[in-house]
Amino acid sequence: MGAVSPAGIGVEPLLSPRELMPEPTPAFGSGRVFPVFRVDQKQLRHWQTEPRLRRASPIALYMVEAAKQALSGRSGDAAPTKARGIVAAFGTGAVALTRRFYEGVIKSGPRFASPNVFPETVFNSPTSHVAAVLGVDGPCYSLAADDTAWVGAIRVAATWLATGTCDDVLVIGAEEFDPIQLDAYAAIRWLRNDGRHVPSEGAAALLLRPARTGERRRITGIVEGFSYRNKREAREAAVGATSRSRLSNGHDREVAPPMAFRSAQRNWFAPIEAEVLQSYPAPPPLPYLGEAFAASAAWNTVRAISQARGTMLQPVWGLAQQCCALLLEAE
Amino acid sequence: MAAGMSQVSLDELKQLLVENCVLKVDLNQIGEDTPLFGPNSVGLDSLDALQMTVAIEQNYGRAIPDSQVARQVLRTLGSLRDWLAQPPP
Repeated sequence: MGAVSPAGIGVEPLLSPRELMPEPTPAFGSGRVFPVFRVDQKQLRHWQTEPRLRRASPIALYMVEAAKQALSGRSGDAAPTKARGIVAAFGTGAVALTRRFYEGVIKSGPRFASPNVFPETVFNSPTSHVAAVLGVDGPCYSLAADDTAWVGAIRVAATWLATGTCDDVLVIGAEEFDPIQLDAYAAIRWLRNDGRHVPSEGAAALLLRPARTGERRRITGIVEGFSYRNKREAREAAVGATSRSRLSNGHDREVAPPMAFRSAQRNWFAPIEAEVLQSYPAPPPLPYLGEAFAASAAWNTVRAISQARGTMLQPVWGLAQQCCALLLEAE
Repeated sequence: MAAGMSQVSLDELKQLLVENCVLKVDLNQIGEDTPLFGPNSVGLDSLDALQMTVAIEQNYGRAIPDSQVARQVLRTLGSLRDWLAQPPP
């Protein structure tokens, strides 16, 4: 496992609550100020000495760092890997350089569009940087969606492992912040003056492989497909995704996970989450990490399998359109 | 815009290079004869060459007409400064 978050570099900072203050950040365009949790990029400067990453976006640095940590932490008994894949999940991708590229086109015209920045506007470019820097030559996918892209990425990895396409798969959830997002989030009313939805950024990575006898940590269930269009449907989707009867461990056995990981922080989904998870013991969410979509979902998986023991339900509330869940086991 | 190119200083070209190619190097390490590409160079690649071509035209109004000329002009900052000092053909 590996992580980059506003709490710091590595998994350890995710596990212990700490005092973090969001930075007041003016939105691009409107100039309205909103709180944002940012990654301390000084701690990732060493990656910029990599020729491939010199021009890369921050999200690529977050992903490379988290993936490198995940590879460094793999078990010593792992067989040599013949085929390693990567599935990355993120929402807006390399948004800072994409904004800069189009800003340049608007200001100076298409003739002076920056050739250096253009490749970073391609959605898969951060994932391709990870593959190149870490020498991964297996399949390499990028999934774009809200928080639930993380669950989709795990599903893709599980399929590759089941079909023998890969021996192991790096699954990375990531998000990068740019002030232009504040305008977008304000427009769809996620951001209000109450400061409940605080945007954030970072990444987390898991190295997944087929489970072996005695494996201490497992993903035993993947639940997807509960979409919604409004708040009423969102509640129904949340109930559906977390319904115990739908959570099996892959052997058609119904399971009742004794613990759930809350993840809605304080956003608009929080009341729905509180209602749906009321029968589960659930540790409180970590508002100091903010909202970073697939990265948040990935952080919560890392927290769950690092901190808890037994079977755990990790609901993943997609803020845009669907609800999913993971069933995790740790010894 | 193309007039007065003889006034372009090495420091100005260093700044242009570092800003456009996102180089994390000390400006003092780049001399007028330091190769921009290849072994023991600043470490530019083909994307940087395109970027510099665009930046030169945008800043000095001089278009590098083809790749042959680009190879000569972008060999070092000194060669770039000399080319900019020449009147356009």
